[in-house]
Amino acid sequence: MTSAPPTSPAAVPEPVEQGNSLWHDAWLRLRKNKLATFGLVSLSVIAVACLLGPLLSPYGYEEQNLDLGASAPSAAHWLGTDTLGRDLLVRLLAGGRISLAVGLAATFVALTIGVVYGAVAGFFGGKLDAVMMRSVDIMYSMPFPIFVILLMVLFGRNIILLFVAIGAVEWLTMARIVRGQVLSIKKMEFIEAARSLGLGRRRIIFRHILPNMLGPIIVYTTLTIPGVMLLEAFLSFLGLGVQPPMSSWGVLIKDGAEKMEEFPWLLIFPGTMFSLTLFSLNFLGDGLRDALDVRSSKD
Amino acid sequence: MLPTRPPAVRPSDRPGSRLRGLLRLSTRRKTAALPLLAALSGFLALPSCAKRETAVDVGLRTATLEIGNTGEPGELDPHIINSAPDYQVVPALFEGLLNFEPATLAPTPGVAERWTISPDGLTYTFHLRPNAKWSNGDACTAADFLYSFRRALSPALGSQYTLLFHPVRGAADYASGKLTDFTAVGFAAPDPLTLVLTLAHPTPYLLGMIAGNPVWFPVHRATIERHGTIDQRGTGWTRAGHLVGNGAFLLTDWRPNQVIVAEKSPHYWDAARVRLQTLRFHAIDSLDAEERSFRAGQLHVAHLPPAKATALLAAKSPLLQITPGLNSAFINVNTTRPALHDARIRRALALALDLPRIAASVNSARMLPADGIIPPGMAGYTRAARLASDPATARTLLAAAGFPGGAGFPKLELSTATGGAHELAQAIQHSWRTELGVQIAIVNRESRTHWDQMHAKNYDLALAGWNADYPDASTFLDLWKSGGGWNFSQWNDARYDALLALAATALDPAARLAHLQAGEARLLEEMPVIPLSFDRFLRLVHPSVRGWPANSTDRPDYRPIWLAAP
Repeated sequence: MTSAPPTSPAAVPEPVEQGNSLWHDAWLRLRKNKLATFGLVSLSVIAVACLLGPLLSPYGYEEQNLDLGASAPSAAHWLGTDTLGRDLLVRLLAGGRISLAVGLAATFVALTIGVVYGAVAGFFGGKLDAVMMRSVDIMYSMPFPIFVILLMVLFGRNIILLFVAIGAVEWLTMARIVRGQVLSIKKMEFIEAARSLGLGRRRIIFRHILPNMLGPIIVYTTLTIPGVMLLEAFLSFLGLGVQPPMSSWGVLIKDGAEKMEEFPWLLIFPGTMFSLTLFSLNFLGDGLRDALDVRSSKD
Repeated sequence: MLPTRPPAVRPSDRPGSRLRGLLRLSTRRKTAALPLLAALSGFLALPSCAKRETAVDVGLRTATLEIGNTGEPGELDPHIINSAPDYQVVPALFEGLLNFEPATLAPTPGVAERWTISPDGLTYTFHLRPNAKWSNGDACTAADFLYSFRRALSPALGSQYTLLFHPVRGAADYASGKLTDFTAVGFAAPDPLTLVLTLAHPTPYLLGMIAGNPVWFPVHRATIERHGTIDQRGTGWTRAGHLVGNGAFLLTDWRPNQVIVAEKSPHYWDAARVRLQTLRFHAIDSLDAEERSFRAGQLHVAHLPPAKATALLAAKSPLLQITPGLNSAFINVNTTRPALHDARIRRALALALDLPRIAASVNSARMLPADGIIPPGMAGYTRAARLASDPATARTLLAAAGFPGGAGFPKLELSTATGGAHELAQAIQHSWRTELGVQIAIVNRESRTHWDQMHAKNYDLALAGWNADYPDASTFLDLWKSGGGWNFSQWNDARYDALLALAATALDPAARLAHLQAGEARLLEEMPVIPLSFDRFLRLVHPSVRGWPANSTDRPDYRPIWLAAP
């Protein structure tokens, strides 16, 4: 963090003691928050398991065993198998890769578009702002599942496109949040100072305004990821998401829901995994907001 | 307590004081405790609630059959109906010339009490019963049938099943508008109780086409004309109170998306044999909800999700009724695609599938693995050629066609309808990859798009199926005639066409059977479609329902049903 602005007037200089960076402070605050720590740890565990699990498992996610069929959790298949005799654990982990990747990639797309769009609209203001934000309002009014379905129909189905399509509808809220932040920050004295020093607009936006919005942006990002994963689940539920035999959590939950009375494990495990991830992300998001929002912190 | 002893009891021992002590909670904190008490009493009352009469019990007392009907019928006009819920209701309200025996689908007398066929097989004479009546008491005569056939064939009405009249001389031309004079069509009514059909060519399965098929049902002329013209759709004549039918039951109430009520008709000629008083058809969109209603005692007869049927089958549940259906599920193969043009490859794809194993794991209750294209139980037909899994031969055939071990085989797409058989598709995909080394992609499409792509011949492989329109093998085999409208495989085979032409003109049943068998054998040799399964109809039937006439067309006859305590 090179250009941390003077955040509070109470920064009494103590030259002997080494000052803490903003990031270090945030980290300390985050660590104090038990729920957020839990979220961070469980997310890491899930991510590592999804990345490595399918490589270590003796089964392939598409490997069928028709003679076995659906079997309850056992020593051979820890989470049981589905009706085609496929190992649920490896399908859950392989599906997790898709769900997490969709969540991260789509959020990244949404983040990039939303931040740039919102920052530009907020900084320049005036007519440009009015035009840009009204077009956001128009896009808001579109029912987004239909928009995504339209994109899928136009460009065919592939997983990359799924990321982009979801990202392309998720950036609207981000743009609004960023614009609002920019509007308030650009009136502050340090921006005035930067401007009087003769800095260019781009430099002011990206070096001075943007770092001051990191708190809300990160928070909103962690809240977007679960939303995107739910949307992927919804699209897969409609048959528009990942294509078989690949799985995703949405697909597994949909299939499990159809058979929950006979083979409850097909719903319980994917459902638990999905909920755990969503909870962890929400806890982490809450924790990050508290940790990064300097104005609301007490120290 | 002894009466002689003086009452030297302490206040707290007085009867009632302990009770008051218990109640102190409620007197002290009335507001908090009241809802609690209410909830508690509600909870205690639950067991008695469960014992209260359910709709099924009431039905037993009042001879009312509560039927789960999957969804809201689109229409109750016998000449227009085309969705599954319609077909459950209409046979209760109308009756055609013939009915059918549930087990064999053999024609039985309906409005026609007897019939004769001329030796050349071209003239059918039906003698109507004199006591056949409409539900308003009017007599049901041959003129009604003439009017109804004219209506069903009117081009402006747009009935989807005019095909079932095609054997009758001139009917196809009248339906397409080429012929405008109905008297030139081969229907005649020499007297009010005689109906004569003249055919263009002998059709041994004509009676099967007529029996129980709603497009052959009569409609009441005065009612139709009171609400519109003969060939006008949606005039509202089928609303409760308007509709006049000639069936065993009479429409008395139709609450859209809720229930259709039909009461026993006093004018029905065989009313003495009808034992049910009321039929109630419930429109329940979701199979899950229908199954839950059945478990809650709201329905006597219900559909259920196929996945649940597997569990019930395994548990040998007496409630589950499985009826083989006259239908066939298969993969359409687009034979104009380069890789699929070679019959050896199509055969290899078919032989690589171990259908019994796939059916057992995908859905053992619903799927009967196919060994041919024509379902078992087809009247007058027995299969000569059989398809059996043979992966070794499949690999040899594929190698001979130039793709040993699947090397270099193009990546084809298998199109499926959303919400359909995605597990079946994945099992097929897996079999082809492991047995043949052939990779295919599964493409899920919305159901209508899926069928549109097939009509447009814009697909490689597609899961499809066909329900018999009438109980004869030709309803399936005719699909793959060269240039046929449903020949999505675009397979043109002179030998196959010749065999079907021979069968169509053969008067001798044995010769006809031989031609049809040869036709199916040719189909299995060339494999323009890959047979998959024959699907069964699954139902939950309450033990109090007696005489439910399960049949392979899934068109119920409500007349013989009665309710008795299990």
